[in-house]
Amino acid sequence: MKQPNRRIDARRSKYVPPLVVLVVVVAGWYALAYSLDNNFASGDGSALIIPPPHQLFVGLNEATVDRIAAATWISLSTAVVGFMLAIVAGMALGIAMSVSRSLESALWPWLIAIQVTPIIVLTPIIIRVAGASFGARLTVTVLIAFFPIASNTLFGMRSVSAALHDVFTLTQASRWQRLTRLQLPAASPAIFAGLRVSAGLAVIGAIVGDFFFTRGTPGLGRLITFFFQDTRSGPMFVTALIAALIGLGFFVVVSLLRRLLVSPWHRP
Amino acid sequence: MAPSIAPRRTFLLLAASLVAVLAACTNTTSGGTASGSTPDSVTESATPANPRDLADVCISPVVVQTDWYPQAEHGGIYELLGNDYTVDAQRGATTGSLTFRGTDTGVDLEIRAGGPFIESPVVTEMFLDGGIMFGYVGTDVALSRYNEAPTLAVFNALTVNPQVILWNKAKHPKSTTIADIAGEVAAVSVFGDRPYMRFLVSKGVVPVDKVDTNYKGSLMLATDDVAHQGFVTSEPFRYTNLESGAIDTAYQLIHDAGWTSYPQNLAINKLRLDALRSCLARLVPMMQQAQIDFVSSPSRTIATLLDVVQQLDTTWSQSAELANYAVATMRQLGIVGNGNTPTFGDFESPRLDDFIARAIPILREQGLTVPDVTASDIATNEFLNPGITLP
Amino acid sequence: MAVSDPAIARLSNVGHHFGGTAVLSDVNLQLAAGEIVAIVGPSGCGKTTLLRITAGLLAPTRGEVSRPEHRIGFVFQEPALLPWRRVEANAHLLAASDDGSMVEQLLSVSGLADHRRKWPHELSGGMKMRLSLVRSLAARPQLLLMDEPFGALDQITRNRLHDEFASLHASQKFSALLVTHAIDEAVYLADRVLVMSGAPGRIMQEFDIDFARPRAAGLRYSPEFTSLCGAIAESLQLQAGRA
Repeated sequence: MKQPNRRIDARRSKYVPPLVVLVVVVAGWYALAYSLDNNFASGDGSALIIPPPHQLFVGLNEATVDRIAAATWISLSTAVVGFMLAIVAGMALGIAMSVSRSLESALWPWLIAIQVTPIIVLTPIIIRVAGASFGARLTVTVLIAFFPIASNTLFGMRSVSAALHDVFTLTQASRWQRLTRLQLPAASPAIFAGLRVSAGLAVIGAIVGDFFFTRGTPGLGRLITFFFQDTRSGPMFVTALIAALIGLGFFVVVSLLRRLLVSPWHRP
Repeated sequence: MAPSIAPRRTFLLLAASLVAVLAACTNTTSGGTASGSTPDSVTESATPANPRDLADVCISPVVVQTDWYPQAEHGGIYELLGNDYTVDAQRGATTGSLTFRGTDTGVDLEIRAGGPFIESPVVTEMFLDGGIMFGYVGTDVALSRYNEAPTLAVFNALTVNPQVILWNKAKHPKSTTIADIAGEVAAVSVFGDRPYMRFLVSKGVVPVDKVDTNYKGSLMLATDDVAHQGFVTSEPFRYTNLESGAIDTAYQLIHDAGWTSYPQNLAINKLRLDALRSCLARLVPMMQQAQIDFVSSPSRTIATLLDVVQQLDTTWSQSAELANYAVATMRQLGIVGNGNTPTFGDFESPRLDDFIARAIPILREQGLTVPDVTASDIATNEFLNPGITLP
Repeated sequence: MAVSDPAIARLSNVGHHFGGTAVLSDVNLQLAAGEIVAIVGPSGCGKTTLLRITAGLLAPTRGEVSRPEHRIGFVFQEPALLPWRRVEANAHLLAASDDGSMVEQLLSVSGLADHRRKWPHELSGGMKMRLSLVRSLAARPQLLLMDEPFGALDQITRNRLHDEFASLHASQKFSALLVTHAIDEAVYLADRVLVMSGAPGRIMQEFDIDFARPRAAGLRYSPEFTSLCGAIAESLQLQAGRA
C-alpha cells in the first residue's frame, strides 16, 4: 500500500464513523417522527408530538425567540457563575483538606453526604430558605457541582510523589511555592477530570433545578415544560437543543483548557 | 363553513317557524333548527322516522375525551351513559349504550378520563386518535392551537368558567377580588404558564412578581398563606371539609375578572366537520338536554360518576356530598346556565369576539402563532336546538 | 557546624528507628570537600535513610549531623522531574537566576541541549536521569546526595553517565555521597567505598579507591579494579550472611 492512500484511509476512519452515526441518528429521528400514528394529523401539517428535523423551527416566531433567549440567559448565567463558584469552592475545600488531615476527617463525611443526596430534590427547601432568587439557583448549582472538583483536587494534591516534595523541601520552598508550583500543577490532570464531570453537573443543576423556580421569568427547564403544556413540540425541541448545546459548550471549554494546560505534558 | 352566529340568533328571534325553511334555503345546516322548547319536539327533517336513532348517522362508539377525572362538570355527558356501562381502568374509558332519557340510541358512548390517562392535551389527542369525536376544549385552547389543530366547538357545557383564585377568608377578610388578595399575599399560585394569569398581569390585577407557577393541585392554604387557582365546584368544599381543620375560603371567578372564555366546550376536530355533520345534528341537541337533565336531577348520574371513579381506582376521589355541592354551585353561580340568550349551550358571538380580542394579544405574547380568527371559526351553534333552554 | 571543620558533612553516632524497628545504628561518617564516597550494603540496610538524614530531610533519632545550610543537591532513584515543565525549565528549576549560562553548559555537556523544548515524558530513561543530575548540579551544590541514580538504566547508558558525572565533578568539585548496589559503579566513581551491614545498618568496612582521575572506561577491565570489586563483594556477602 502506498503512503498517500494510507493517509486517506486514516482520514476516512476519522471522519466517516461520526458521519455515519449522524446520518443514522437523523434518519432514526425522521423514522420516529413519521412512524408515530397521526403525528402529522394536524391542520397545517406540523408535527403534534415529534417534529422532524426540518420542522424544528416551526412556530419559532419573535415572541417565542424572546422567551427562549430570556430563559437561555437565566440558565446560562446560572450555569456559568455556578460553575465558577463550584470551582472556587471545590478547589478551596480540596486544598484545605489536603493541607490538614483533621480538616479532611471532619469535612469528608459531610461532603459525601452532600454528594449522595440528590440535591435537586432539596431545591424546594433551598428556595424556602433563600427565596426563588439567583442566589438560590447558584446554591443548587454549586451544591450539585462542587464535589468532583473537591475530591479530585484532594486526590491530585495527594498524588504528588515524595521525591518531588523532597526536591522542594531541599530548596526550602515556602508553603505557597509548594502549593502553586508543585501541588496544583501536579493535581491539574485530576482537577480537570473533576471539572469535566462538574461542568455537566453545573448545567444539570442550572437547567433541571429550574423546574423548581416557579416565580419570575422561567429558565430553560421550566420553559420546556411550558412549551410541553402548550404542545409546542418545535419550540420544546429547540429549547432542549439549546440546553444540550450549553452542556456541550461547557464540555468543549473545559476540554480546550485541558488541551492547553495539561495535555501537552500529561501522559496518563 | 358554519354561518356566523349573530345573524343566526337574529333569525331565531325573528321567527322560529321560518328558521327551518331559511336554513334549508341557505344550505348551511341540516339540523338543530327545530322549534319548540321540549326535547320531545326535537326533529330532524332528513330522517323523520326515529329522531333518537343515531345508528345510521353516527359511528359507534361515540368517543368523548374529557379533560380530567370524572367529576360533576362532566355530568351532562355521563347523563347519556346507559346503565350497562363498563369501566376499563387501564385506559380510563367508560363505555355503555348512548341512552337518551331512557331510550337506547343504537350506538355506544365511550367517555374517556383525561388528566394522567392521556399523554397529551385533549386537543392533541383529538388529532392523534381519529376515534375521538368530541374533546373538551376551552376557548383559549381552541385559539392557541387553532393554527395546527383547529377545533370547532359545537356545544358549551359550562357557560361560565368555574375556575377561581381563592384564598383564606379568615386571614384576609377584606379581600373580595383577585386584585385585593394579590396585594395581601406573597404569591398567587397557578399551574404553569396560563394565559388567564398573563391576562390578569397585563390588566394590573396581579403583580408579575407574585405569580408562582408551582400549583400542582394540592390544598395549599392548609400550609401556605397564598392565593391559588382552583375550581369553585371543588376547592371551597374540600377546604371546609379539611381533616386538619376547616378553612373558610373566599374567591373570585376569573370570568368575573375578565377572562370570559367558554371553559368546557364539546369540540370536534374541525377537519372532520363534514363527515360528522349529520351525526352532530342529531346528537348535539341530546347533549344540550342531557346537561339540563343532569343539573335538574343529578342523583342517578352522580351515582354513576362515583362508581366510575371508584372503578378507575386512582388517587382521585369524589363523594356524593362534593358532587351535589358542585351541581348546586354550578346552578347558583350560573356556571351552567343559558347566558344572555334563551338557548342553552350556545355561543354568544359578541362575548366570544370580545374574548378573542382579549386573548389573542396574550397568546401571541406567549409566542403562540394565532391567526386572526373570529367567533365562527372556532364555534358554531349550527347543531344546537335553539329551543332547548334551562328553566 | 564548626567553621574550622574541614569536612563538608559529618555524621556522629547517628542512629535511627522507625517505630520499634531500628534502621541505623551508630553511624559515623565524614565527607571532605570534593570527595566522592559510595555506600554499598544489603537491601533494606538503611542506605536511603542515611542519605535523607544527611540531607536534612529526616531528623535522626540519635546522634548529630552537620551539613551545609544551603546548596544540598539530591538525586533520587527516580528522576523526580516536574512533568509540566519543559526540559530547560526543569534544568533551571533550582539554579540561581544569574547562573543561566552555567545551566546551558550543563545541558550541552549532558547532551540535552537539543531536547530543551521537550517535555520530560518525551525523554528516554537515561536522558531523564541526566536531566535530574543537571538540575541538581545547576544549583551549584556543595554536597550532592545520590540514591541509586543509575539503578534503573541499562549498562551502556549507565557507563556513559558515569563518565559524564565524573567530568562534571571534575569541573565543579562538589562533595558527593552515592548510594548504590552496583559495586563496579561504586569503585569506578568513588574515592572511598563504605560497606554497610544489614539492618540496623552500620558501617562495617571502608575501602579507599586510589585510581587516578580522570578514570577511563578501560579501568573496569584492569585486574586491580576487578580484585577491589571482588574484595568489596566478599565483604558485602559477609554482611548479608550476617543479617
